[in-house]
Amino acid sequence: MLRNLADLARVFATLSLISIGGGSAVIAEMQRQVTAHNWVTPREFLDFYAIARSAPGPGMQLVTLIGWRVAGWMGALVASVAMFLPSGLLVYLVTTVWGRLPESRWKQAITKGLAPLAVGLTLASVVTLLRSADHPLVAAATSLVCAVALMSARVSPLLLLALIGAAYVVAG
Amino acid sequence: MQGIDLQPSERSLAMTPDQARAEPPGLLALALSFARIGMSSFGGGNAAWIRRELVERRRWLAQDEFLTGYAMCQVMPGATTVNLSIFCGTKLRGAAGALSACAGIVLPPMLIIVLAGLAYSYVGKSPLVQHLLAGVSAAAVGLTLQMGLSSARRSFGGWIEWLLALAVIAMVGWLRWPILDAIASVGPLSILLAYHRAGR
Repeated sequence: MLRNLADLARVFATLSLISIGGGSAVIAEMQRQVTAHNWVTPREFLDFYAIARSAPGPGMQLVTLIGWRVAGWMGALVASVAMFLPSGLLVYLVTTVWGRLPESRWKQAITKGLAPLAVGLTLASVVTLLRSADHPLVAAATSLVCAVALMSARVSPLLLLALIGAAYVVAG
Repeated sequence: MQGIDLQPSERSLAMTPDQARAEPPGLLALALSFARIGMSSFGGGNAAWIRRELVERRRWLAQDEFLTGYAMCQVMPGATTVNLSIFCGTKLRGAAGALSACAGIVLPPMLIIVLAGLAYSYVGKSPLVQHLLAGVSAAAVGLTLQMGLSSARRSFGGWIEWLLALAVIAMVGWLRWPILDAIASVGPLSILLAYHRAGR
Protein backbone atom coordinates (compact mmCIF):
# COMPACT_ATOMS: atom_id res chain seq x y z
CA MET A 1 0.00 0.00 0.00
CA LEU A 2 2.67 2.51 1.05
CA ARG A 3 4.80 1.27 -1.80
CA ASN A 4 1.93 1.97 -4.20
CA LEU A 5 1.40 5.47 -2.79
CA ALA A 6 5.10 6.27 -3.14
CA ASP A 7 5.04 5.00 -6.74
CA LEU A 8 1.95 7.09 -7.51
CA ALA A 9 3.60 10.19 -6.06
CA ARG A 10 6.82 9.63 -7.99
CA VAL A 11 5.18 8.90 -11.35
CA PHE A 12 2.70 11.77 -11.26
CA ALA A 13 5.08 14.36 -9.81
CA THR A 14 7.43 13.64 -12.71
CA LEU A 15 4.60 13.86 -15.23
CA SER A 16 3.53 17.13 -13.63
CA LEU A 17 6.87 18.78 -14.35
CA ILE A 18 7.18 17.56 -17.94
CA SER A 19 3.61 18.28 -19.06
CA ILE A 20 4.65 21.24 -21.19
CA GLY A 21 1.60 22.49 -23.04
CA GLY A 22 -0.99 21.19 -20.59
CA GLY A 23 -2.41 17.91 -19.42
CA SER A 24 -3.19 16.55 -22.87
CA ALA A 25 0.49 16.77 -23.79
CA VAL A 26 1.43 14.18 -21.22
CA ILE A 27 -1.34 11.61 -21.86
CA ALA A 28 0.87 9.43 -24.07
CA GLU A 29 3.61 9.23 -21.46
CA MET A 30 1.07 8.69 -18.68
CA GLN A 31 -0.49 5.77 -20.53
CA ARG A 32 2.96 4.26 -21.05
CA GLN A 33 3.84 4.50 -17.38
CA VAL A 34 0.58 3.48 -15.73
CA THR A 35 0.20 0.44 -17.97
CA ALA A 36 3.83 -0.51 -17.31
CA HIS A 37 3.03 -0.46 -13.58
CA ASN A 38 -0.03 -2.65 -14.32
CA TRP A 39 -2.25 -0.08 -12.62
CA VAL A 40 -4.73 -0.09 -15.50
CA THR A 41 -4.98 -1.77 -18.90
CA PRO A 42 -4.75 0.41 -22.04
CA ARG A 43 -8.49 -0.04 -22.60
CA GLU A 44 -9.30 0.97 -19.00
CA PHE A 45 -7.04 3.99 -19.43
CA LEU A 46 -9.11 5.00 -22.46
CA ASP A 47 -12.35 4.47 -20.46
CA PHE A 48 -11.01 6.64 -17.61
CA TYR A 49 -10.01 9.28 -20.12
CA ALA A 50 -13.57 9.28 -21.49
CA ILE A 51 -15.03 9.57 -17.98
CA ALA A 52 -12.69 12.40 -17.01
CA ARG A 53 -13.45 14.35 -20.17
CA SER A 54 -17.21 14.06 -19.74
CA ALA A 55 -17.23 14.86 -16.00
CA PRO A 56 -17.05 18.47 -14.77
CA GLY A 57 -13.66 19.98 -13.99
CA PRO A 58 -10.16 19.84 -15.46
CA GLY A 59 -9.51 16.88 -17.80
CA MET A 60 -6.59 15.95 -15.56
CA GLN A 61 -9.07 14.45 -13.07
CA LEU A 62 -7.97 11.37 -15.00
CA VAL A 63 -5.07 11.26 -12.54
CA THR A 64 -7.46 11.26 -9.56
CA LEU A 65 -9.30 8.33 -11.09
CA ILE A 66 -6.13 6.31 -11.63
CA GLY A 67 -4.94 7.04 -8.09
CA TRP A 68 -8.32 5.98 -6.70
CA ARG A 69 -8.18 2.75 -8.70
CA VAL A 70 -4.72 1.91 -7.36
CA ALA A 71 -5.14 2.81 -3.69
CA GLY A 72 -8.62 4.12 -2.90
CA TRP A 73 -9.22 7.61 -1.48
CA MET A 74 -5.61 7.98 -0.32
CA GLY A 75 -4.45 7.05 -3.79
CA ALA A 76 -6.79 9.62 -5.35
CA LEU A 77 -5.45 12.30 -3.02
CA VAL A 78 -1.76 11.41 -3.42
CA ALA A 79 -1.97 11.17 -7.22
CA SER A 80 -3.84 14.49 -7.50
CA VAL A 81 -1.49 16.39 -5.21
CA ALA A 82 1.53 14.89 -7.01
CA MET A 83 0.09 15.97 -10.37
CA PHE A 84 -0.98 19.49 -9.39
CA LEU A 85 1.54 20.63 -6.77
CA PRO A 86 4.93 20.67 -8.60
CA SER A 87 3.64 22.44 -11.70
CA GLY A 88 1.44 24.64 -9.51
CA LEU A 89 4.44 25.84 -7.50
CA LEU A 90 6.27 26.56 -10.74
CA VAL A 91 3.35 28.62 -12.07
CA TYR A 92 3.20 30.52 -8.77
CA LEU A 93 6.91 31.37 -8.99
CA VAL A 94 6.73 32.32 -12.64
CA THR A 95 3.61 34.45 -12.07
CA THR A 96 5.44 36.47 -9.47
CA VAL A 97 8.62 36.76 -11.60
CA TRP A 98 7.78 36.40 -15.32
CA GLY A 99 5.39 39.34 -15.45
CA ARG A 100 8.07 41.63 -14.07
CA LEU A 101 10.68 40.62 -16.63
CA PRO A 102 10.94 43.12 -19.47
CA GLU A 103 9.86 41.94 -22.92
CA SER A 104 13.01 40.36 -24.32
CA ARG A 105 14.01 38.34 -27.35
CA TRP A 106 14.61 35.26 -25.20
CA LYS A 107 11.26 35.56 -23.44
CA GLN A 108 9.52 35.71 -26.80
CA ALA A 109 11.65 32.83 -28.14
CA ILE A 110 10.74 30.57 -25.22
CA THR A 111 7.00 31.23 -25.58
CA LYS A 112 7.06 30.75 -29.36
CA GLY A 113 9.58 27.90 -29.30
CA LEU A 114 7.60 25.75 -26.92
CA ALA A 115 4.49 25.88 -29.12
CA PRO A 116 5.55 23.18 -31.65
CA LEU A 117 6.53 20.97 -28.71
CA ALA A 118 3.15 21.47 -27.01
CA VAL A 119 1.26 20.80 -30.25
CA GLY A 120 3.41 17.75 -31.07
CA LEU A 121 2.92 16.26 -27.60
CA THR A 122 -0.84 16.86 -27.68
CA LEU A 123 -1.19 15.21 -31.09
CA ALA A 124 1.06 12.35 -29.96
CA SER A 125 -1.45 11.80 -27.15
CA VAL A 126 -4.18 11.58 -29.78
CA VAL A 127 -2.21 8.89 -31.63
CA THR A 128 -1.54 6.94 -28.43
CA LEU A 129 -5.18 7.02 -27.31
CA LEU A 130 -6.46 5.97 -30.73
CA ARG A 131 -4.03 3.05 -30.84
CA SER A 132 -5.52 1.62 -27.64
CA ALA A 133 -9.13 1.74 -28.91
CA ASP A 134 -10.81 -1.58 -29.77
CA HIS A 135 -11.29 -0.39 -33.36
CA PRO A 136 -8.58 2.21 -33.97
CA LEU A 137 -9.73 3.18 -37.47
CA VAL A 138 -13.35 3.72 -36.45
CA ALA A 139 -12.20 5.72 -33.42
CA ALA A 140 -9.85 7.81 -35.59
CA ALA A 141 -12.62 8.62 -38.06
CA THR A 142 -14.98 9.54 -35.20
CA SER A 143 -12.48 11.84 -33.52
CA LEU A 144 -11.63 13.51 -36.82
CA VAL A 145 -15.32 14.23 -37.47
CA CYS A 146 -15.66 15.66 -33.93
CA ALA A 147 -12.57 17.85 -34.31
CA VAL A 148 -13.81 19.24 -37.62
CA ALA A 149 -17.28 19.84 -36.14
CA LEU A 150 -15.79 21.70 -33.17
CA MET A 151 -13.54 23.82 -35.37
CA SER A 152 -16.17 24.81 -37.90
CA ALA A 153 -19.26 25.35 -35.76
CA ARG A 154 -20.18 26.35 -32.23
CA VAL A 155 -21.01 22.87 -30.94
CA SER A 156 -21.21 22.16 -27.24
CA PRO A 157 -18.45 19.62 -26.43
CA LEU A 158 -20.66 17.89 -23.86
CA LEU A 159 -23.49 17.50 -26.38
CA LEU A 160 -21.03 16.05 -28.87
CA LEU A 161 -19.74 13.50 -26.33
CA ALA A 162 -23.32 12.47 -25.48
CA LEU A 163 -24.41 12.17 -29.12
CA ILE A 164 -21.42 10.08 -30.19
CA GLY A 165 -21.75 7.90 -27.08
CA ALA A 166 -25.43 7.28 -27.87
CA ALA A 167 -24.61 6.55 -31.51
CA TYR A 168 -22.05 3.91 -30.50
CA VAL A 169 -24.58 2.27 -28.15
CA VAL A 170 -27.22 2.15 -30.89
CA ALA A 171 -24.74 0.85 -33.48
CA GLY A 172 -23.60 -1.73 -30.89
CA MET B 1 -4.48 24.78 -24.75
CA GLN B 2 -8.13 25.61 -25.27
CA GLY B 3 -8.75 28.50 -27.63
CA ILE B 4 -10.58 31.56 -26.45
CA ASP B 5 -12.59 33.26 -29.14
CA LEU B 6 -12.67 36.97 -28.71
CA GLN B 7 -15.65 38.73 -30.17
CA PRO B 8 -14.94 42.17 -31.72
CA SER B 9 -16.86 43.84 -28.91
CA GLU B 10 -14.70 42.08 -26.36
CA ARG B 11 -11.55 43.11 -28.14
CA SER B 12 -12.53 46.75 -27.83
CA LEU B 13 -13.24 46.04 -24.18
CA ALA B 14 -9.59 45.10 -23.80
CA MET B 15 -8.61 48.54 -25.05
CA THR B 16 -10.14 50.22 -22.02
CA PRO B 17 -8.04 48.96 -19.12
CA ASP B 18 -9.48 51.56 -16.76
CA GLN B 19 -12.92 49.96 -16.84
CA ALA B 20 -14.29 49.77 -13.32
CA ARG B 21 -12.16 47.07 -11.69
CA ALA B 22 -13.80 45.51 -8.66
CA GLU B 23 -12.07 45.13 -5.29
CA PRO B 24 -9.99 41.92 -5.00
CA PRO B 25 -12.23 39.18 -3.56
CA GLY B 26 -11.88 37.44 -0.21
CA LEU B 27 -10.35 33.95 -0.14
CA LEU B 28 -13.71 32.23 0.31
CA ALA B 29 -15.35 34.20 -2.51
CA LEU B 30 -12.39 33.30 -4.73
CA ALA B 31 -12.65 29.59 -3.88
CA LEU B 32 -16.41 29.60 -4.46
CA SER B 33 -16.01 31.35 -7.78
CA PHE B 34 -13.53 28.73 -8.98
CA ALA B 35 -15.67 25.92 -7.59
CA ARG B 36 -18.49 27.27 -9.75
CA ILE B 37 -16.19 27.27 -12.77
CA GLY B 38 -14.93 23.77 -12.02
CA MET B 39 -18.40 22.32 -11.63
CA SER B 40 -19.93 24.01 -14.66
CA SER B 41 -17.21 23.35 -17.23
CA PHE B 42 -17.37 20.12 -19.17
CA GLY B 43 -15.11 18.56 -21.79
CA GLY B 44 -12.45 21.24 -21.79
CA GLY B 45 -12.86 24.90 -22.68
CA ASN B 46 -12.44 25.76 -19.01
CA ALA B 47 -10.26 28.77 -19.81
CA ALA B 48 -13.18 30.43 -21.57
CA TRP B 49 -15.27 29.88 -18.43
CA ILE B 50 -12.62 31.42 -16.21
CA ARG B 51 -12.42 34.47 -18.46
CA ARG B 52 -16.19 34.89 -18.44
CA GLU B 53 -16.40 34.67 -14.65
CA LEU B 54 -13.31 36.69 -13.61
CA VAL B 55 -13.00 39.26 -16.38
CA GLU B 56 -16.56 39.84 -17.54
CA ARG B 57 -18.79 38.98 -14.61
CA ARG B 58 -16.74 39.91 -11.57
CA ARG B 59 -14.26 42.35 -13.19
CA TRP B 60 -11.50 41.17 -10.88
CA LEU B 61 -8.93 41.04 -13.69
CA ALA B 62 -8.46 43.12 -16.82
CA GLN B 63 -8.77 41.37 -20.16
CA ASP B 64 -5.17 41.94 -21.29
CA GLU B 65 -3.81 40.86 -17.91
CA PHE B 66 -5.81 37.65 -18.18
CA LEU B 67 -4.69 36.92 -21.75
CA THR B 68 -1.01 37.41 -20.89
CA GLY B 69 -1.41 34.97 -18.02
CA TYR B 70 -3.27 32.53 -20.25
CA ALA B 71 -0.42 32.51 -22.79
CA MET B 72 2.04 31.82 -19.97
CA CYS B 73 -0.13 29.06 -18.48
CA GLN B 74 -0.34 27.25 -21.82
CA VAL B 75 3.41 26.80 -22.22
CA MET B 76 4.09 26.04 -18.56
CA PRO B 77 3.96 22.42 -17.39
CA GLY B 78 0.71 21.44 -15.70
CA ALA B 79 -2.97 21.34 -16.63
CA THR B 80 -3.75 24.68 -18.29
CA THR B 81 -6.91 25.37 -16.29
CA VAL B 82 -5.30 24.54 -12.96
CA ASN B 83 -2.34 26.74 -13.92
CA LEU B 84 -4.76 29.51 -14.79
CA SER B 85 -6.51 29.24 -11.43
CA ILE B 86 -3.13 29.58 -9.71
CA PHE B 87 -2.19 32.56 -11.90
CA CYS B 88 -5.48 34.36 -11.15
CA GLY B 89 -5.36 33.51 -7.44
CA THR B 90 -1.78 34.77 -7.18
CA LYS B 91 -2.63 38.01 -8.98
CA LEU B 92 -5.63 38.64 -6.71
CA ARG B 93 -4.56 37.44 -3.27
CA GLY B 94 -0.97 36.13 -3.43
CA ALA B 95 -0.04 32.62 -2.29
CA ALA B 96 -3.20 32.14 -0.21
CA GLY B 97 -5.26 33.21 -3.21
CA ALA B 98 -3.47 30.68 -5.43
CA LEU B 99 -4.24 27.93 -2.95
CA SER B 100 -7.94 28.77 -2.58
CA ALA B 101 -8.50 29.22 -6.33
CA CYS B 102 -6.76 25.91 -7.07
CA ALA B 103 -8.66 24.07 -4.31
CA GLY B 104 -11.90 25.56 -5.63
CA ILE B 105 -11.43 24.30 -9.16
CA VAL B 106 -9.97 20.89 -8.25
CA LEU B 107 -11.73 19.59 -5.13
CA PRO B 108 -15.49 19.59 -5.96
CA PRO B 109 -15.01 17.85 -9.35
CA MET B 110 -12.69 15.39 -7.60
CA LEU B 111 -15.63 14.08 -5.52
CA ILE B 112 -17.72 13.62 -8.66
CA ILE B 113 -14.97 11.82 -10.55
CA VAL B 114 -14.43 9.31 -7.73
CA LEU B 115 -18.17 8.61 -7.64
CA ALA B 116 -17.99 8.06 -11.40
CA GLY B 117 -15.06 5.69 -10.86
CA LEU B 118 -17.09 3.81 -8.28
CA ALA B 119 -19.96 3.43 -10.77
CA TYR B 120 -17.45 2.26 -13.39
CA SER B 121 -16.15 -0.49 -11.11
CA TYR B 122 -19.70 -1.90 -10.89
CA VAL B 123 -21.06 -1.51 -14.42
CA GLY B 124 -17.96 -0.59 -16.44
CA LYS B 125 -17.54 -4.00 -18.03
CA SER B 126 -21.12 -4.42 -19.21
CA PRO B 127 -21.42 -4.40 -23.03
CA LEU B 128 -23.72 -1.37 -23.01
CA VAL B 129 -21.34 0.77 -20.96
CA GLN B 130 -18.35 -0.46 -22.99
CA HIS B 131 -20.02 0.72 -26.22
CA LEU B 132 -20.97 4.01 -24.60
CA LEU B 133 -17.42 4.60 -23.36
CA ALA B 134 -15.92 3.61 -26.73
CA GLY B 135 -18.03 6.33 -28.36
CA VAL B 136 -17.42 8.95 -25.69
CA SER B 137 -13.67 8.32 -25.67
CA ALA B 138 -13.43 8.59 -29.47
CA ALA B 139 -15.28 11.91 -29.28
CA ALA B 140 -13.11 13.02 -26.35
CA VAL B 141 -10.00 12.28 -28.40
CA GLY B 142 -11.63 14.54 -30.99
CA LEU B 143 -11.66 17.36 -28.41
CA THR B 144 -7.96 16.87 -27.81
CA LEU B 145 -7.29 16.73 -31.55
CA GLN B 146 -9.18 19.98 -32.04
CA MET B 147 -7.23 21.55 -29.18
CA GLY B 148 -3.90 20.67 -30.81
CA LEU B 149 -4.95 21.77 -34.29
CA SER B 150 -6.42 25.09 -33.12
CA SER B 151 -3.31 25.81 -31.12
CA ALA B 152 -1.14 25.09 -34.18
CA ARG B 153 -3.28 27.34 -36.35
CA ARG B 154 -2.97 30.13 -33.78
CA SER B 155 0.71 29.97 -33.00
CA PHE B 156 2.58 28.41 -35.93
CA GLY B 157 4.36 30.76 -38.29
CA GLY B 158 5.19 28.28 -41.05
CA TRP B 159 6.05 24.75 -42.13
CA ILE B 160 9.14 24.44 -39.90
CA GLU B 161 6.92 24.46 -36.82
CA TRP B 162 4.83 21.68 -38.36
CA LEU B 163 7.99 19.70 -39.09
CA LEU B 164 9.09 20.00 -35.46
CA ALA B 165 5.61 19.02 -34.23
CA LEU B 166 5.54 16.03 -36.59
CA ALA B 167 8.93 14.92 -35.27
CA VAL B 168 7.52 14.98 -31.72
CA ILE B 169 4.42 13.05 -32.83
CA ALA B 170 6.61 10.38 -34.46
CA MET B 171 8.92 10.09 -31.43
CA VAL B 172 6.21 9.90 -28.78
CA GLY B 173 3.17 8.57 -30.67
CA TRP B 174 4.80 5.92 -32.85
CA LEU B 175 8.25 5.15 -31.46
CA ARG B 176 6.96 5.48 -27.88
CA TRP B 177 10.01 7.40 -26.74
CA PRO B 178 9.87 8.78 -23.21
CA ILE B 179 8.52 12.30 -23.46
CA LEU B 180 11.67 13.79 -21.87
CA ASP B 181 13.82 12.51 -24.75
CA ALA B 182 11.49 14.21 -27.22
CA ILE B 183 11.54 17.47 -25.24
CA ALA B 184 15.33 17.37 -24.93
CA SER B 185 15.89 16.74 -28.64
CA VAL B 186 13.29 19.09 -30.16
CA GLY B 187 12.93 21.78 -27.46
CA PRO B 188 16.33 23.53 -27.72
CA LEU B 189 16.17 23.44 -31.53
CA SER B 190 12.70 24.94 -31.52
CA ILE B 191 13.58 27.70 -29.04
CA LEU B 192 16.77 28.59 -30.94
CA LEU B 193 14.77 28.80 -34.14
CA ALA B 194 12.23 31.09 -32.49
CA TYR B 195 15.10 33.19 -31.11
CA HIS B 196 16.62 33.48 -34.57
CA ARG B 197 13.26 34.52 -36.02
CA ALA B 198 12.59 37.07 -33.27
CA GLY B 199 15.77 38.85 -34.29
CA ARG B 200 14.58 39.51 -37.83
